Amino acid sequence: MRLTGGRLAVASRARAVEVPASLSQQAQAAAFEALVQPLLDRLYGAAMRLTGDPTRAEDLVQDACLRAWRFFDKYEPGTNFKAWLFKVMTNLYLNQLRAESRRPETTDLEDIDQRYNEVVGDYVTARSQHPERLALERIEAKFVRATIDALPEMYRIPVVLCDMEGFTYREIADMLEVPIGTVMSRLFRGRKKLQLELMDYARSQGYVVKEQP
Amino acid sequence: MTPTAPMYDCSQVYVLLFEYLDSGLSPERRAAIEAHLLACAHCLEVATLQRQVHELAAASGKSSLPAGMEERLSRLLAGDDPAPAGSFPDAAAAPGTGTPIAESNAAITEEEAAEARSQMAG
Repeated sequence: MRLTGGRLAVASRARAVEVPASLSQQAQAAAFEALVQPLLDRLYGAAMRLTGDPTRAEDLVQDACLRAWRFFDKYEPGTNFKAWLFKVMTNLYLNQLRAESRRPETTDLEDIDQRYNEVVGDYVTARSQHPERLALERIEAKFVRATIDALPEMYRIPVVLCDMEGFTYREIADMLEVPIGTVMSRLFRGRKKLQLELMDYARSQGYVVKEQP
Repeated sequence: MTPTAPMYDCSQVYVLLFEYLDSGLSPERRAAIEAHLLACAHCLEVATLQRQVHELAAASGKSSLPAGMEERLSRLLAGDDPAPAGSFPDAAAAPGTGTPIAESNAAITEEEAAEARSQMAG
């Protein structure tokens, strides 16, 4: 595959075994090119959030694209290519963690539900008494990214896939090969942790708006 | 006759707010949550905070490929460069045939959501 003038062009050598005829091969290459090209930036963005490192992110995207191309004949046309491609990348990432003898970080957020209820409950109660609100909208994207990067892996992955990439619970469950309920509970806990961190930060920065009573 | 929407109290709404945010839940449940949010400033405030955080996360993720990466990717996929060592662990499974076109989160069944909801309630 070549990216010429910003366009992908797929060469034949990368998957010589599975492709029976040159015409079909060219058609498949063109299809792969058309499907992958618009997703590269998203793929890289998600890889950055997964790995937290530009070099590892680039390697992960390269590996995912190469692997997707090698298995492209397995992809069923008409199904969700973006979800398939992200599944390829997510699987690779999880396999890399296993190869490094590292399981996804499972820092326990069991207590987050109670803490969230207390902190948010207190904030909302205070809001009814004081005409001030936290201006979360003033938080810089860079800080939001850093906070997502700092989430424990098990919770970060669903937050990235759902909130940043817009995948549904079922698509994420399929990518991670876990039950939907598990996706939901990890996603919700990740979001709670993220929200508490962002509220803390907004407070520390004085991002507060006074409202008319 | 439309089905009567259930009446929710704050604790019930609280458990369902994230699913509501994600366009999940049945129309009846969504209607019940919306009715509650119109009447309850406390839950509306919580829902607003959650939506803000969701929007911040969604807006924070824009990245562009680093300079030169398209060329490197191009050479790699054209087979001009060997794959980076160790980049394909043999144990990595084939990625499967495809994922169904995205359905909405409203299609999640009660049984599928039950585990998450019970944890949220706890």
